Amino acid sequence: MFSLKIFRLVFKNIKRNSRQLVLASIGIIIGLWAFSLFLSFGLGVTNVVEGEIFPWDKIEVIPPATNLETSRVKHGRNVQSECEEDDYYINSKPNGTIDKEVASKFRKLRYLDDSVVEMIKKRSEVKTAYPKMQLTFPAIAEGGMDELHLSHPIRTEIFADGLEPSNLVQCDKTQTDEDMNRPRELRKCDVMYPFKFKDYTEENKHLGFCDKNSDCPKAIFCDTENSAKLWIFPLEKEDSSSKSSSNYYHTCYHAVPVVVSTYLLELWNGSVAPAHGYPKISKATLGTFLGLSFDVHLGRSMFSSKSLNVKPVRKRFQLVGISRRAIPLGVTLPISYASKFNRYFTTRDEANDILPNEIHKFETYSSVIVRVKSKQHITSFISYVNKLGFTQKDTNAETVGLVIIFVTGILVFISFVIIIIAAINIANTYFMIISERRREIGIMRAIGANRMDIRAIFLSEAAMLGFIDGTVGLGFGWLTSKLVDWIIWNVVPDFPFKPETAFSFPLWLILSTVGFGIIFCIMGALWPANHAAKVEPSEALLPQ
Amino acid sequence: MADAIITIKDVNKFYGSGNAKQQVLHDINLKIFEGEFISIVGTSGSGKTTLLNIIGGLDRRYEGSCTVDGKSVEKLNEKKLSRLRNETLGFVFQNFNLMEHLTAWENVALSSHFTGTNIESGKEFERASEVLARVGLKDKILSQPANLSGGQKQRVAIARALFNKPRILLCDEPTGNLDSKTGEDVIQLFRDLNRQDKITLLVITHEDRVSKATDRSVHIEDGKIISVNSKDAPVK
Repeated sequence: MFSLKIFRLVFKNIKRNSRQLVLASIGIIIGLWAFSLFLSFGLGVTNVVEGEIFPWDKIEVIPPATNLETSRVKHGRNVQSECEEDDYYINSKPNGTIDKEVASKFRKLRYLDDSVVEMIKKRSEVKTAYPKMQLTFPAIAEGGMDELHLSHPIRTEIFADGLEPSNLVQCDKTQTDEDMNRPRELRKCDVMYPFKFKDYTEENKHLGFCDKNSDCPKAIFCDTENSAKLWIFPLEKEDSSSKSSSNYYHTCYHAVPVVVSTYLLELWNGSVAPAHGYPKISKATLGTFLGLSFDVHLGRSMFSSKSLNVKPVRKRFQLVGISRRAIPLGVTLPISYASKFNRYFTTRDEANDILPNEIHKFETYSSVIVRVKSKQHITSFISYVNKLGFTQKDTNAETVGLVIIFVTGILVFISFVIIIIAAINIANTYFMIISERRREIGIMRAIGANRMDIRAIFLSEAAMLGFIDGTVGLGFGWLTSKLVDWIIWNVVPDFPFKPETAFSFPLWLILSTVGFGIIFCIMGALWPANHAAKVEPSEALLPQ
Repeated sequence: MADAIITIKDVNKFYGSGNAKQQVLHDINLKIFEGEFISIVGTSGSGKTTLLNIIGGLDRRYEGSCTVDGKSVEKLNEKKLSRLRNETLGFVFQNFNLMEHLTAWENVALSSHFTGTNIESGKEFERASEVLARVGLKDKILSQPANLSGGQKQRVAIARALFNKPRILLCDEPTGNLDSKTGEDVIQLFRDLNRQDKITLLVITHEDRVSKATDRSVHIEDGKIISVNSKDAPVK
């Protein structure tokens, strides 16, 4: 019975009743169209949110808000003892005083240093982990007037952090050319040729002295401020005597290489550029933006009037790439620069000694960016991080994800309601068809069909109808998604994170759409088919 | 005379219930022998089609017993009864009952879609062509019923009944919708099938010309057998 030849009979039966079945199928097709469209939209938006805005696998481990060294030691027992890392297990002395050595270890754990990064990297849940160091002082960026052909320079408060250069993909010429031809989401290069993301301190030592930029080689800048010593010597206590010396320190130097995030790029293209009439950064104009240099006034702020105890300095920064690993709103520079800058701007005592509670600003990290291997690992890793005494930065990703799931769920539920109503319509249509084909059922019974055969014929028809409906519904859904994508790109104004496509049609969605079409049509035809199977042949053959 | 291939014993059939209960067959006893060409003759409403339905296993709500090819129809379960209809019996109806959306050969091979068939899988078209040729419609294999005459339609219906190589052919008013010439052709075809292919033929009819062509005719009136006429065999 369930052989291929049945399909010819079933297909011819469907063709014969095509008008009735097309009308009955409209509801199923609309329902499946809505199902595939809503679900693919939900998946597409989730992909953008989880992939670009709030990467689901990205956890930013940060130190706890308070840093009071004794706050966690109570009554001779340290809550840190829950920590599974024995190296950091500490006990206070029986008399209640705190062992300095132990307290030192404890202090270490309160901050994110290399040992903590290593501990995190060793965890089985972790795919990659890299530390970041934020600048601990304000800064203002200014520039872009010549490069972007503006009437006035762009001036903005800037946030920055530091990252180990080894954590970025720095491409050569061939790799850069290949990368430029890839879709945005598939690009691998963080730093494009000919630029480099590295610490130029050593190279700067050999670039010579200058009075103006033209005294230096091409793409090298002249540091006309005394802060030039930042590039040559680490600012140590013994150097403070030479702090007030003269032009001797005016030297040529490589601009500080920085990368910006794709997030910032989206904000620029979607909000900032349209609002202020600035050019957008596209594939075509990326070359103009890469290499763009601008002044950064380290130690100055547009918001705060609080004065630092050291003189602000002006440095030239240069944009060398776009990276997902960059700070979302700001610029990311090599971590060694961040450490030097933080050290320069640390608070010192009257003897120009760095205060002990300021050391962590340039010796430890502000956060560790962790990528976990899968969603299942998130909970256990966060639990581990919390046991260590650290916490994670709340990105609201979970809330946004839940909202998306909730909205998608409602839309999918509505599409299911449409499909269920349509299935009832299918049942009604099949009752009519069976009534019309009553005599035919009698003939089939007379020439050897049993009840199962009759039931199978009608259910096979319903399954084939469901397959056709599912395919058509899916096809309409796909076409609609293309139309919506076209509208998003050609009619809707730019907005941040404007996706290449707002929809996603994974294989399981395609199969489930067609599968639901088949299932619901079979469900609709089940009752009528059973009714048909029960028809007595002698009654069915009676003249009508 | 050969053995009885169909035996009907004390068959009574009622329609309705209570006060509306009506008996349409009264103590019918009949034996039909293998290779026989027999007609059941009667006026409209005499119960002849009811008797045919009982013999064909299409109606099992009756009293008495009906044995076909050694099997008690009333005792067979649904599957076995369907298999009996598929493998042993062939039906021909007055108004052809062809499926208009199928071609001649697809109508003929319809029973190959169902459980239990005498035809090897993949040979359906070959067998359909063979039986269509047997009924003289070799050139109408791919024709739709709408493009066939009444006589041709009935021949397709006969070919459908022959498809599974049945031992018994049950025909309900097979010439009822045909003109006299075409009717004669169909009767001749039945005679050939009976003589050459040794198929047992039971024909329900109200036409004398049909009953006269058979070996034996059984007359039914008001659900009772009132006479059995035989050409050359004794009355059973």
